[in-house]
Parts: sequence; C-alpha cells; structure tokens
Amino acid sequence: MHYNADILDDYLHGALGPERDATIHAHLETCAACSALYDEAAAVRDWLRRAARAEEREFPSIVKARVWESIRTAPAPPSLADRLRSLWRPMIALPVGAALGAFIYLGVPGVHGSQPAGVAATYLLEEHAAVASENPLADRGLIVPASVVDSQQTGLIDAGDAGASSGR
Amino acid sequence: MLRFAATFAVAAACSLPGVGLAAQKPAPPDSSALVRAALEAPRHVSYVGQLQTIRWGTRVANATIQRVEHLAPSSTRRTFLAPEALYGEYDITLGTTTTKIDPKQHRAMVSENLSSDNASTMNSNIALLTANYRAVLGPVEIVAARPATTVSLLNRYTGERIMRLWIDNATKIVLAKEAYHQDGSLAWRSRFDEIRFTGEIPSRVFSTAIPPDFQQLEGRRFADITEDFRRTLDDAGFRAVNPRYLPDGFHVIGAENSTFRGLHNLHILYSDGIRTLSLFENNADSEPDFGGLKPSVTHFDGHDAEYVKDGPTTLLTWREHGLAFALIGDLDLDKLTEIAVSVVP
Repeated sequence: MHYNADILDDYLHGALGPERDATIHAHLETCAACSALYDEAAAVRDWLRRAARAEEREFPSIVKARVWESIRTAPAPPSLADRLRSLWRPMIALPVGAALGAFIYLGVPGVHGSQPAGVAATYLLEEHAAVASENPLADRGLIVPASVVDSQQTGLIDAGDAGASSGR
Repeated sequence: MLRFAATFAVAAACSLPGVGLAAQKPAPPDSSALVRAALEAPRHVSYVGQLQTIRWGTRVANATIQRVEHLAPSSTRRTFLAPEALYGEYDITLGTTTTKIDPKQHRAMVSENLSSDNASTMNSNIALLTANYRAVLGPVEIVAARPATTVSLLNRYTGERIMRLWIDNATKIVLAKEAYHQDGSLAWRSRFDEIRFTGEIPSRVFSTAIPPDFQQLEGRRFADITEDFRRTLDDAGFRAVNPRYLPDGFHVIGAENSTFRGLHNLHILYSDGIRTLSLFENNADSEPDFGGLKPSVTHFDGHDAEYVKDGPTTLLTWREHGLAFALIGDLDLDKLTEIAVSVVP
C-alpha cells in the first residue's frame, strides 16, 4: 500500500489527525517509495520558502520616515472627552465627566504630569546621514531628500532669506 | 581635543609617502597617491552620470538611482530617478550650501556645512584615511564602459577590508564603491551605470532660485570645527560627555547643537576616514520616540537600552544620570555597545 501525494502533502503540513499522522509516520519508516515522494514534497516546500524569503522586500527607510512624518503631521484624532461630549447630553455629561476626571486625576498615578515626547529616532538617523554624507568616500545614497525631512525638526524661514540659519 | 585633532591631521598629512621629498624627486604613483588623487579629482573634473546605490540591511536591501551633474570644482546637482516616491526631487550643492527641492510638496530647504568645501577638512579626511587604512591595488575592471583600477582599503588595526574603490584610469573619478561590515558582508554599494566627462553643463542646471510659492524650511548648519567646536560643547546647556573608548583610528571631527520639538541636542561626530559615528546627547527627561521603527531591547552595564537597524546603520539609545544618549554608525551592535559603556557622565 502506498499513499498519494495529496495525503503526504497534508502530512507534511501537519493537516492530518493524530491517529492518521502516526500511521503515516510509521509507514514512511518502512516504505521507500512513499518516503521518496515525501522527500520530494518537502524539497518543494523548502524551495518555495527560500524563494519567498529571497523575494521579501522592506520599505526603504526614507519611505518609512515619510509615513511617520505623515502620521505626525496628521490632525490629532478626537479625544475620548470629545467623543463622549458628542454622544452625551450636557445634563448628563457634565456631572459624569467631572466625576470621571476627578477619579482619574486623583486615583491614577502618573497622570498629573505626562512625560514629554523625546527626540525622534528618524530625526537622529537623518541628521547622522546628512553629516556622514559629507565624507568624500560616503555613500551618496545616504542623502536625505527634502520630502522626507521632518518638518518639525526645521523652522520656516522667510522666502526672501536665502541664507541657512543655525539650529543653535 | 580640538588641538589634538588639528595636530594629528598635520602630523598624519606630513607622514604621507613622498610629501617631504616631493620637491626633489617626484614619487612614483602608488596606491595611496591614487586614492588621494581620486578624492581630489572632483575639484577639477566635471561630469554627468547616472549613479545607482544599494544599501543592505540584515535581510533586505533598498536602492536609489540619481542623475548626477557635477561642474568642477564644487557645483553638484543630484536628481532622484528612483524610487518612484522620490522621482524628480533634487538637491544642488554650491560650495558649502546645499538646496534641496521637493517639487511635489512645494518645499525647499537650504542647509550649510562650512567644512564641506574646506581644504583643511579635505586634508584632515585624507590624513585620517591614510593613518588608518592601507590601500592595496587590485586588477583593472570595466565600470560604465571605462577601465578602472580597483583599490581595497584595509584597516591597519584589524586587517579588515572596509571599502573597495573603482577609480577611473583616465580621470581618477571614483566610478564605484563598496563598503563592507566587519564580518566582510556587503553594507552598501554605489556605482555609475553611465558617465560622460564634460564641463558643458547649462548654468540653469545649478540654479537655486526657489519659486515664490514654495515653503522654505530652515536647514542644518554644521559647525566648522576649527572655530566652533569648543563653543558648541559650551553651548549645549549641560555638561557634555565624551566616550572614553573609541574603536582604533576614530577621532572627533566636529559637533553641532540642534533643536527638535524644543529639545536641545548636542551632536558629536567621529570618523576614522571612512566610517562615521554620531553621538547625540540631551538632558530631556524623556524616552526617544521610535515612531514607526521597532526597536529591540539590549542590556549593558546595568542599563536598559534599545536599538534599531536601518540598512547597514545601527542606532543605539540609552539614558544615564539624567542624560539621554544615542549612538549611530555603520558599526556592529557589539562595537557600539562597547563605546556606550565608556560614556559615563
């Protein structure tokens, strides 16, 4: 008795029940033909995995930086309080909101002063890339295009002022 | 430190092969002379070409293609041809000033680097390079349909090949470069697909006029180390610290202060002539904002630290004694950690 390729494929991918799985496992130990067919299926699976890995691509870091910039510059989503206000009538919202606010302020540690956001990692990477690219042997692909420079790390200057300004 | 850097640069420059005897008997061209000629070639050779750059990360790579128009000595325009998201963006460098133009978002940014068109900066770069790397000639290969001499740059301390250059035999312009990790794997490669040597480039190519409806952003201004380095440290607003350990051959080459979301940041820059290392410091009571990047956690010397890899570049951040630190460079995480351990306020 031999198993066909479909069953062996299911076995390979762990899609069979425990009893059937054990039966085929024992059969493969003794049947050269089925074992060869199984090895072939396993080889195909491994090849497909390798091919898939080789095809994997990641967004370029500059594209990731641009996405992050968009997120930062997007309008802030409505707060929980805004949503509650839009849902509740003032007569109910006022006392409930006050009670909830007092509870959170007094009862939850750490709410009194929230930690400010730190320096963005993309800003640091872009700053490093900009300076490192001045080396004559540097990777010129490091150059950060204007479109991905975080607008929060710069300041607007008058269009008539052609000179660069110090960040200091 | 500044005095040391300047002294080092002069001493190393004087130790270049043949410099002392140049007036009496011209030294025969050798690998170091060829590298020096290659670094200086853009000062007197003009060209138009298409440059492809690929940067490899741990598992994946990304690439850009730029059209490069260079008019000697110091006018360069780079226009992105790929990826599509950047198509049409360009930057124009005239001496020390770079203007970046983003036609899609109608934005322009002007930045300045006082050291970029400075002869002493170039000499310091060459001195560092010569002091830290041995140039070994290789075979002639064809790049962009031109014969080019290959030169490997081997680190004098570790023996590792850190970079390989393809230098055009006729003009000495570098036609291709490859940089390697410490384990020998490829970190990035740039290569001219095509290049034409000509000085006949229309002047409008280098026009930095910004259309009136463009938003103009304040750009970066990197301090000229010969004048500003000490003052930059003093202006940091807190007691700046330096690592006690740097990999062999690395020296401080500059510093700048910048502001991000109101946070004052000190940026100290180190180099060994090829590789660059940045140390950022600030005294803000806040964690770094990794945004869309996914940091991994690591530990050293009793500290919790986080790191991300961006292509061949690694960013390591940690906090210590009220200061927040970030180290960035094309170095292995182990090496960055070794440096981080030595940064003690």
